[in-house]
Amino acid sequence: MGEIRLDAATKVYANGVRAVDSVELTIADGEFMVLVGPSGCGKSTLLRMIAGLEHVTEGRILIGDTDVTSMQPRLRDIAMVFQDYALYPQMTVRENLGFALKLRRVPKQQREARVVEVAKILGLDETLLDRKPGLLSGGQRQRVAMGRAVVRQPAAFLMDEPLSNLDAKLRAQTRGEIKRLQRTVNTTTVYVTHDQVEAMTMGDRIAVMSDGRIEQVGAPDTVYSRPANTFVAAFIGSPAMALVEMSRAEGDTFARGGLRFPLGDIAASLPEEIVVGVRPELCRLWADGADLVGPFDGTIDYVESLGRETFIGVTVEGDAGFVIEAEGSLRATIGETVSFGVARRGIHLFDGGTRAAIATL
Amino acid sequence: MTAGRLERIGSYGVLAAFAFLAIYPILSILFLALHTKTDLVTGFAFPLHPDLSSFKAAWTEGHFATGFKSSFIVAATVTAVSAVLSIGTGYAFGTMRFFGDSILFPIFLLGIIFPYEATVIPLYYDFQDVPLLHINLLNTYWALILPQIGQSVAFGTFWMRAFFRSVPPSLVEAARIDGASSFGVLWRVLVPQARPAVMTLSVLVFVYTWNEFLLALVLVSGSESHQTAPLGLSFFAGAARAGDPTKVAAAAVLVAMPIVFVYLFLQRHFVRGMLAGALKE
Repeated sequence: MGEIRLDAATKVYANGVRAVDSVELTIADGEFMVLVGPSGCGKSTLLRMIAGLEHVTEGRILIGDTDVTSMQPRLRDIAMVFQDYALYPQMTVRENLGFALKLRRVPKQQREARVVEVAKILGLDETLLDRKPGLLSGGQRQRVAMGRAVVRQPAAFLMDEPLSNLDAKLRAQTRGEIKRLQRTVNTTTVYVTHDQVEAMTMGDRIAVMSDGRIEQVGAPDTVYSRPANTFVAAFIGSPAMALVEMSRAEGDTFARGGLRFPLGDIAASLPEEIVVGVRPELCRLWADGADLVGPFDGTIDYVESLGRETFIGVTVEGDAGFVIEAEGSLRATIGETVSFGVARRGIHLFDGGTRAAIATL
Repeated sequence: MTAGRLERIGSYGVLAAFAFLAIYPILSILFLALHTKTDLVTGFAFPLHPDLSSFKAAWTEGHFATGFKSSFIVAATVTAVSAVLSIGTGYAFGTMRFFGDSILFPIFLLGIIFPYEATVIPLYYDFQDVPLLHINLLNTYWALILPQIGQSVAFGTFWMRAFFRSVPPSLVEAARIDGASSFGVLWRVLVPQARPAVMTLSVLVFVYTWNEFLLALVLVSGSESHQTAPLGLSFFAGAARAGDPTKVAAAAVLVAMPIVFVYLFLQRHFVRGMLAGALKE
C-alpha cells in the first residue's frame, strides 16, 4: 500500500538546472529510506517531488498503485515533517495535531481521542496540548511536527532534515525515537539528511545522491564497506576515506611520486590509473611485526583527539593525504613526522578514469 | 556632568524643539477654537476661559452631521472592501506563481503612482456617463468609493504581498499537505496571522480616505448630502473665516477628531505603517 516508486523522475528548472536527473528508485512498503548527500545534490527536491510540492518535469511517481505525478499534495495520502517544523503559530498544539483531521471532517470526539493517543505515543505531556508552539522548546516542537504527521496515518512519511535544528545531544536522542516510532507504525518513510551519521543509523537502506543523481542505494553496511564509486566512498564515513590517485609502476606496485603501494596479485587486472581508497581504521601507527603495508612517513597536518581515539591527518611523499586512527588520547605535534602502515584487507580500488569501484581487498 | 548625560540632554532638547514645531499649529487651532469671537484672538493664545460654544455653532452651521455621515460611509466602505480585496490579491502575488504575475503586479502598483490630480478630470467624465451602463454617478457615494477602492487596493496589494511573502513557505506547504485548499490555506492559516498587517492596512486606508479632499471637491460638491467632512469644512471655512475664525478652528478640530481617536487607539499600527515606508502621498 505504501510502496513508493520513482520512474525516471526528473526536475529541470526554468533556468535549465537539472536538479533531479532521471531517478529510478523503489521504496518498499514500510521501509525507512534515507536520501543523503551534500547540499545541492537534489535530495530535498526529490522529496518535494514525491510530496507534490515540486512539479515533475519528466517521469512518474507512484505511491502504491496510484500514479500521483500530477496529483495535488493533499490527495497523495502523505504527511511531511519540515526542517523548520512549520507548526501553525496561532493554533495550540492540540489544534496543530488535529488540523488535518478537522479538514477531513473527522468527528470532534474521534479527533480529540486520536490527538491524545498520538501525544502519548510521542511523549507529549497533556499540559502541553493547550500551549502554542511559541511556548515550546525545540525538542517539543519537533515532536509536535512528528505528531502532526503520525496522527493522519498516511501511506508514507516524508521528512526533510527534521533534526537539523536540534542540538547534538537531542539529535542523538531523537534519532532513536524516530526510528522506534517508524517501526511501531510501520509506515513507509523517506528521510532526507546531509548527516551521514543519521543516514547510517536510521535507514533500512540509504540512497547517496550527487548532482541530482543517485550514486548508490543499499543497506548502510553495504554502502560503507562496498562504495560504488569515489564519491560515495568519500562521502560516507567520518573521517572521510583517503583517496589517492596512483599509476602503475613496476610489478604489483602502484606509485604516486615517491609513495609506492604494492597491491599483490590483483594488480595485474587493474587499469594503468587507479584510485586507492583507505579508511582511517586501516591506517595505524607503524609497529614492527604488524601485518601492514609500509612503513610510510607522513608529516602531521592535524590532530583530532576524541578521547577514545585520535585521528591524525598526514601528508606523505607525492602529496597524498591519509588519516591515521590511533587508540586512546595521543599527543602529537603538527609538522612532526610519523610512521604508519596500512592494513591490506579492506583497501578499496577505483578506476582512475570512471572513478567506479573495481574491488575491495 | 558626563558626556553621556550632556548628549542625552541635547537629544531631548532637539526632540522637544521638533515636537513643538509639529504640535504648535495644531495647538494654535485648538486654542483658537476654545475662544469666542469676542476674544479677538490673534496668533498663539492660551484660552484662559475655555469655551465650547464655537464647536456647537460650527457643528450646526456647517452641517457636519451630514459630512461625518458621508465621510464615515465612504471611509468604512473603502476600508472594508479594500482590505478584503487586498488580502486576496496579496495572497495570490505573495504565495503563488501564475502566468503573467510579473507583468500584472507592476500594473497594480500603477494605482499607487498616479495621484488623484492626474486622474480626477478623466474620472469626472467617466462618472458623468459611465461607459456601457450610461448612468451618472456624480454626486453619489460611488463616485468617491470606487476610485478610492481602486487606489487603496493598489497599495493594499503591495502591503499584503509583502506580508505573505514574509510567511515561511513551509507553513503554506504544510497546510496544503494537511489537506487545505488554496482558500483554506488563506482562511485557516494565513489570515489569522495577518491580523496585525490587515489592521495596519485598515488604519492607513481609513485615515487617507477620511482626509481625501480633491475627489470630493470635483465629484460630489454638487450634492450637500453627499459632501464629506473635509469638503464641508472647506466650504464652511470659506464662508465663515472672515466673520468668525473661532468657528472655523472649531470645525477643523471636529473634522480631525475621528482620525485623532483612530490614531490614539491604534497608533501602534499607524506607526508600524509609517516605519514600513509604505505611505503614499
